[in-house]
Amino acid sequence: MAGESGGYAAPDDLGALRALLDANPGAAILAGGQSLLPSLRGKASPLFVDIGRIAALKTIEIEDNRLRVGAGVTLAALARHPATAGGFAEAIGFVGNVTIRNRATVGGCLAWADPRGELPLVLLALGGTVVTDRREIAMESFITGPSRTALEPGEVIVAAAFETGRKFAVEELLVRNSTGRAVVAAACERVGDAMRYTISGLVDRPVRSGPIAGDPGPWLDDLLLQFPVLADASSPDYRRRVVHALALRARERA
Amino acid sequence: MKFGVGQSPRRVEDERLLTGRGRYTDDFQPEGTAYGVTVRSPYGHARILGIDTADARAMPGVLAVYTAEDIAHYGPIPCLVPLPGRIETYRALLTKDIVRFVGDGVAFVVAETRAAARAAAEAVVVDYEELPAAATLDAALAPGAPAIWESAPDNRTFDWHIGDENATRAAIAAAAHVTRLRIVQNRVAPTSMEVRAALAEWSDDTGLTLTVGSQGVAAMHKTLSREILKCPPERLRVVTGDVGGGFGLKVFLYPEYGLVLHAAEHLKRPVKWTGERSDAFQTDSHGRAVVSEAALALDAEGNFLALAVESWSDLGAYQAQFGPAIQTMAGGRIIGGVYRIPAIHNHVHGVVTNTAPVDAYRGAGRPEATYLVERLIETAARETGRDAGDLRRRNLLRPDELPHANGLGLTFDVGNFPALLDAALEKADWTGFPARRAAAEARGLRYGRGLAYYVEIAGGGDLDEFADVRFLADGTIEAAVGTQSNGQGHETSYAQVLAERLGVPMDQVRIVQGDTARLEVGRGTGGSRSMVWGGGALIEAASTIIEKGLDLARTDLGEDVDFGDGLFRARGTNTTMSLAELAARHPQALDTRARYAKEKPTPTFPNGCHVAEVEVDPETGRVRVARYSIVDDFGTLVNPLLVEGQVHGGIAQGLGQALLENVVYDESAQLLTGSFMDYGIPRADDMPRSIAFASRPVPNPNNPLGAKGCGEAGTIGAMPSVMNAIVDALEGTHVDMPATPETLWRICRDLAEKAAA
Ligand SMILES: Cc1cc2nc3c(=O)[nH]c(=O)nc-3n(C[C@H](O)[C@H](O)[C@H](O)COP(=O)(O)OP(=O)(O)OC[C@H]3O[C@@H](n4cnc5c(N)ncnc54)[C@H](O)[C@@H]3O)c2cc1C
Repeated sequence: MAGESGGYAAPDDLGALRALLDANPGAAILAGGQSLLPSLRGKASPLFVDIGRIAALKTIEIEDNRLRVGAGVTLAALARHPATAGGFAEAIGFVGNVTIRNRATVGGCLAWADPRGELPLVLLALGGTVVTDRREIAMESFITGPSRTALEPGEVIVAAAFETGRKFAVEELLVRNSTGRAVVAAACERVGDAMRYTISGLVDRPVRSGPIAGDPGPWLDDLLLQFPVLADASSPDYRRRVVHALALRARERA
Repeated sequence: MKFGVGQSPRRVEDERLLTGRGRYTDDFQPEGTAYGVTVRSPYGHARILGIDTADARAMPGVLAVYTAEDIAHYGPIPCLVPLPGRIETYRALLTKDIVRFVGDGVAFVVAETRAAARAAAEAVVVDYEELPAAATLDAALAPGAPAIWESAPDNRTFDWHIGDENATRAAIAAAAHVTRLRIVQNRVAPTSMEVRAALAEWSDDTGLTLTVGSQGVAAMHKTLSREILKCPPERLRVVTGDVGGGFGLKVFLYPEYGLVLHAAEHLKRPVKWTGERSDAFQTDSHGRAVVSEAALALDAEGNFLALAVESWSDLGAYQAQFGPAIQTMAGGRIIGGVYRIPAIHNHVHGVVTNTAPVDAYRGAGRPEATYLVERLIETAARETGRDAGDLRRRNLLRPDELPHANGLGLTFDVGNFPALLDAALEKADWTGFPARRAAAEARGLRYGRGLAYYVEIAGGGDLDEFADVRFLADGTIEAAVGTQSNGQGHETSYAQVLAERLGVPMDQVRIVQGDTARLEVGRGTGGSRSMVWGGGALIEAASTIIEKGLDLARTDLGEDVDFGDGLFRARGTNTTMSLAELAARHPQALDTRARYAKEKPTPTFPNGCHVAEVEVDPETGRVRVARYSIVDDFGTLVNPLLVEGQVHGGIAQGLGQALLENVVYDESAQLLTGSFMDYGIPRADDMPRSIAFASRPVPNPNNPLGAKGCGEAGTIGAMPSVMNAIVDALEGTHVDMPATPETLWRICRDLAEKAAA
């Protein structure tokens, strides 16, 4: 019932977090709260386990040419890091607005798995990895549908990792109107003579192509046959054309 | 500092508001406040078979649960519009047998805390029998449509005509060219930043006090005491604190205001109701919502001959307080703008639907009228191969033709419309357009230009306004005015007016508003009226104060005194006395209540010209407003900075309606746009990069300031100029609002296919 609260806990380290989650199977990890809290409006709230005090989740480290970003790092902090300069930071700049980016976290964005989310798009474009307390999951197989991931119950995202120094260009169109929001985006990375595209907002998850030498249009048509189309405020036909146009524009700049 | 009329001091209210020291209704928090929540209908149309409140009453912290029976002795919320033959649709504070829109109130729960009230509201069990609904004009007018009111079986509540039907028909039949359009004015939600709230307090000695976000306490007081509570006026006091946006919606009385008053009297403790955003989307009065068929007739030279309009005004489920007036008395008489049109006929049908009541929203009928005629003219120019500026210049009334009676009951008094048009075209670099279009096309974009010449009726039906000025012991001159700022900055602009007239520094003047215990009369703020009427009342007060001061100064300084620069002076000597000294020597003697009055309605006609240029990206349908220029005639500007701010905000709302905003109900009358996740309002990046604004005033001769009102003008001009520009970018293809990217993308694709074929 509205207003009923399951309580609040804020563990200081991953061990305490694990213990809390094991003892309370219905608990919800609270990161930036920007998706979780609006989704609970008018509903009973679970036990919130706030991960904001866990220092181990807030680090950004470079190991060789791999950047490892703690799950509790905010999008704003990530976009300020020199290793994300360029397309990466540009894409994050499209997320919500500055107050959202100041709170939304890397782990929250991945766990929420919005099929239009910018962070999943760029991590996929870079062939990144989701690091959990149990394993590493390649971004390719992490998002399995709209708001669905490969995470198991109780599994905690601790970091995201990706190769640094790779360049890509990203284009996005945000359409807000009075039947909802539509966001389509395309990233393009040069691989030798060909291009590799990553797109979101068309089908039920972000997808990355193999190297494509010519027009990415046929690949997009194939996607519509392979995956369920994402239900959105605008028609699939429109989004198919727009994502194509954005992919070509990204190609110009890649 | 001495700031007078025509200067731009910063807003004196901003320090308070920007540092969180404003006091909005929800900030009033008396000891022991209880909280109310309305139980609302989840159906667009349903019969109430029963309401079971037993579980809710038994919940912890619950103080009372009211249903229609408990409050049957109160009057319904009145519709105040005297249209001949209009069928009434009474709206009680709570609905007894039939709910008519999603959000219609059926019970009111009061509890110790907000959370307890909310929980108990969920426990109220209402047994509904769903009825077929009519959520749109088409559905309500279809043969066999469900009747929303027994008294109006065909869902029509009035039929209003103005103008000369025969002459109009004859002129159209004989014309060299007739342009016809069907125009849809989308329904919009006003989305004030501060949602509605109300707090009622009871005292055995003085009765009831209502604190409420309003656009004028006196009108709220009158309707509540006379029509709802039916109590002697002195048993009710209405207070308004700071108001975070009104745009019309806060003029009106909503059921919760009567309900908290009832609960406070019944429970003998303060009771507060604060709406949530979802309450606002469901139950704040909506705006616009009208469909029109229009025809404009021209002779072979391009002179306008006649204008015929037939409109269907969607009133919502209940006819709101001013609802039926919007497309008729408010906007219906200005349908032809300030053009020379010998024959006009306007026919409006009032239609009820299973939706939230529709009432005044920034401009209230005048944006609809301007939008219609400006879309028609632009289309006529394209169809007859004329320049859109030339066609308007040919038909705009010239100064030597004024005053001009428009045949619909309005007489345009002063203005220089052709000169404003030319000034706007120059400001917009009209002749540089082809080069800008070519440059945009070279970048793969479509580029269009749109023009709109608008006219407003400000302070339409008013006859008076009041000011009450007191000289306080600390030297402050405190002036209460019967209007109500909702964010416009009255504390600044009124202080400029009074300070200038009294010759005192502006910071010596303090403007107060919003308390019937301080000033029980006043017409409130709406229809861009405040400066004309409230300013007039302050000037009236200032003259009386100076006369009184001269009388007093004669006893103090001698027979021969005059007044200037804030000083009374014995003529021919150096002996002077300031207004403050005089006031201190004669406590209360200078205090003045003034009424500024006219014998008949004397509206002003703010007018001006907007020019928009837009880029449309054919691959995505995205619109960007590339250039925006305006020349306005608001008469005398009291504070040009505040005026420009009003214009910018107005443009945001007009552009929002043109590009984004749309209230959508589905077939069963469910509201699909019930939150900001679904309802798009403009953001900073939707606005033009810059707005070139100029004022070219022709002062109004009928009020002492020469002002004309500026609050709604930006909205009125923005919709048609932006839409005309989009249509121009699409080679004349008709588009209705909101012009969403997908719609525009489809049109671009079709045009490209046609061009290739
Ligand atoms: C107005 C608005 C606009 C927005 N616009 C955009 C946009 O344009 N693009 C975009 O991508 N997003 C957008 N968002 C969403 C925003 O990015 C979200 O906040 C983000 O997706 C979730 O991050 P969070 O840290 O707030 O997570 P929370 O809301 O705290 O949590 C989200 C979910 O993830 C789970 N979770 C959190 N952390 C972990 C973890 N470490 N391990 C396992 N599970 C975890 C939570 O239990 C919950 O189920 C917007 C949000 C708002 C309110």
